[in-house]
Amino acid sequence: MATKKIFDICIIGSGITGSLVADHFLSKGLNVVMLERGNDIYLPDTQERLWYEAWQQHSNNPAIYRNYWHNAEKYFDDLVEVENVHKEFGFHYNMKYGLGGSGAVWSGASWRFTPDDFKTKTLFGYGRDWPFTIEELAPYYAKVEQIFFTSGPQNEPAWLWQNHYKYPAFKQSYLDKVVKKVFAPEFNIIPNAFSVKNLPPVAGGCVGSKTCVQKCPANARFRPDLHILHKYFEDDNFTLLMNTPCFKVNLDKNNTVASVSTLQNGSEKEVKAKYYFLATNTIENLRILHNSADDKPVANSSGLLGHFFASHGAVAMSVILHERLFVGRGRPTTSSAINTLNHKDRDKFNAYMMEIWNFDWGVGITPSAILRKIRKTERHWGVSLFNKVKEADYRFAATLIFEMEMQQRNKVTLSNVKDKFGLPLAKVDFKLGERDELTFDTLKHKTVAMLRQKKGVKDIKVPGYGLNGNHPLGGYVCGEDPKNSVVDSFMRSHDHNNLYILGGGAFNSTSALNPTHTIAALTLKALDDKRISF
Amino acid sequence: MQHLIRRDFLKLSLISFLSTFFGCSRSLELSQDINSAIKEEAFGYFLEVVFPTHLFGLQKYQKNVIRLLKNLNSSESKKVVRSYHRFKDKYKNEHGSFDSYTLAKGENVISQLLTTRFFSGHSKAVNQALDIIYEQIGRIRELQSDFWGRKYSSAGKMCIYWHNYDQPVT
Repeated sequence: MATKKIFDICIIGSGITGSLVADHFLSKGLNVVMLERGNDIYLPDTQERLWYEAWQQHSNNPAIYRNYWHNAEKYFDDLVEVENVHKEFGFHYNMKYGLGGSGAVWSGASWRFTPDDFKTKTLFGYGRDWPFTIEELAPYYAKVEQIFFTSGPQNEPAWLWQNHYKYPAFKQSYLDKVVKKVFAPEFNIIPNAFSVKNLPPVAGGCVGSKTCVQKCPANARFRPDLHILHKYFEDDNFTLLMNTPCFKVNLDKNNTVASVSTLQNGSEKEVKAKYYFLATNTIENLRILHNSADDKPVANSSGLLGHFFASHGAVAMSVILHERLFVGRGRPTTSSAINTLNHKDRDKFNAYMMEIWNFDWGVGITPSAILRKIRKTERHWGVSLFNKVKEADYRFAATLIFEMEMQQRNKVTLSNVKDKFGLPLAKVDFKLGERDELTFDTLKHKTVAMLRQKKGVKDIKVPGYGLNGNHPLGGYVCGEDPKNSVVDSFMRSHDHNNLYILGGGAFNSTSALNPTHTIAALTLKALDDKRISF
Repeated sequence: MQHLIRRDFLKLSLISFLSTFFGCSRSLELSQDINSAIKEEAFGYFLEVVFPTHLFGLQKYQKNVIRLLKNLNSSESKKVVRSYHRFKDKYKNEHGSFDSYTLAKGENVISQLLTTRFFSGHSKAVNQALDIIYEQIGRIRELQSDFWGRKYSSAGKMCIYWHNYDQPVT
């Protein structure tokens, strides 16, 4: 059954990309329908995000990078699940459905990719070049930095690219300064960029609560639902359909998208529009597209839909220094080292960076949480236990994050397992490549061993390593050649001229940096496509 | 009837044997409540090994811990009392009395109790008791600041060091 109304724009997904699309067209007075599979997000009032507990529980499993919420189902009744073909280094997706999507629960880390990330094939002989340079994407990055009220360093000498931040960077913590001294010269610890208002608390700025991902008590971290969609809730041109999973894209005889099929209150309904923007997460976009292929493939004339899937690799370190750090103060993280992104051996192994945390999330923030955690996981007692609690003020987490080579063999298809709506889950077939293996090995052993030898370091443990469950990338790679890519340089499907497929799936390289900023920049680039006309 | 008597005799003998062998008086550890256990001098030694307040300058919190232990539910308090008795009996077995008590001796006893022994169940039971006690210690809000000798900042609230987190705490 089809709805009678034909909208100007149909957006599937209400996260960061979907909200940017809605903002763009609603501000022009166009008619927009947004389909959101989930409901409004319920965030627990208890401010204790317990994924670090899960970290410990799953420490024997290399695939620990899924940010488990304690009793996740209690908070989210509809998590994005995948089936992994290979259990080791499986991709455990952390995303959930709900208003604001993963943008409602992101850290705010706002890196631009480096110039070299856009041409790894040309420069280093691996991966895929993007069909445009960073210079072409720069104006969109700049816009994002304003829309997302990003705070970052101005004229940072270690920066590899230009920025256009709205607010200055947050101060580096005392811990950052000590670590900078200890880890030099191999790692140059500099301030991060975050889409978090660096304003005084009375002006709605960050208050350093350490619960950024879960919930910002000051609403200072950019959220698409709060900071974009709320503006339009009273707008007659905006139709927001919650609890409405989209499961299929329907084509007409001209190979353009005629409608999308949804489930509304258990009934199948079609929604029609002139343009369609698939703006769910990478995995969900791929599910919908694969599930749409009845008689003929959708967005898959190249045969590459689902291929080149990747994520970020990470090695977590729990570091104890001889110098006291006064941990757990300020934001959860304020600094990183990025001088390793363009290291001299990038033709052999992947780019990497180091994230510095202002506490060791492996054990917690407050002394009592640390006491319980060390007791529970390490079984210390008596003098030894209390010494460990004291030692926690000298202890922090650092994460080595690295890019992964996008290989054609790694792919996302459909599983035989069904979700609660009877729709097939995504099946992830991912294996580390040679470069990835070498990078893992180098970071896990050589780099950690090198850091252990540093004068100020008492001990470093590696509590876990694995795939980042927050950063699914690739699967509908972009390019100018329809035979070699799924979307073009404006994220429009090569096969269907009214279908745009947004998100990290369009990436041609993963970089080692958080992808959200680039996802947003690509979205603004797509919206600049002159072929969209009314 | 004969076989019942024989069975009970065997059961009693076995309990007696186990009690002797493992150095614990089961009847007392099962019957004593936490309030009376806490009053015993040896309980103070037991608690000092578990929570060495003197060593960390945290003596003032001993009372808080005892107050919290008194409020344990029946199941938890039984576990604590049982482990305390195992500690006391073993300590006496090894050192005769608590007259020459030292922290090191007490630690050695707990260490032995925590060492897994086939069929003994000591390790699990004592570990459970320690979990219960440390859970209670973690609940003492005022103690948190003294752990690090500085204030701590809770997650989810404005950081109390927000204005000077870039400086060491003086």
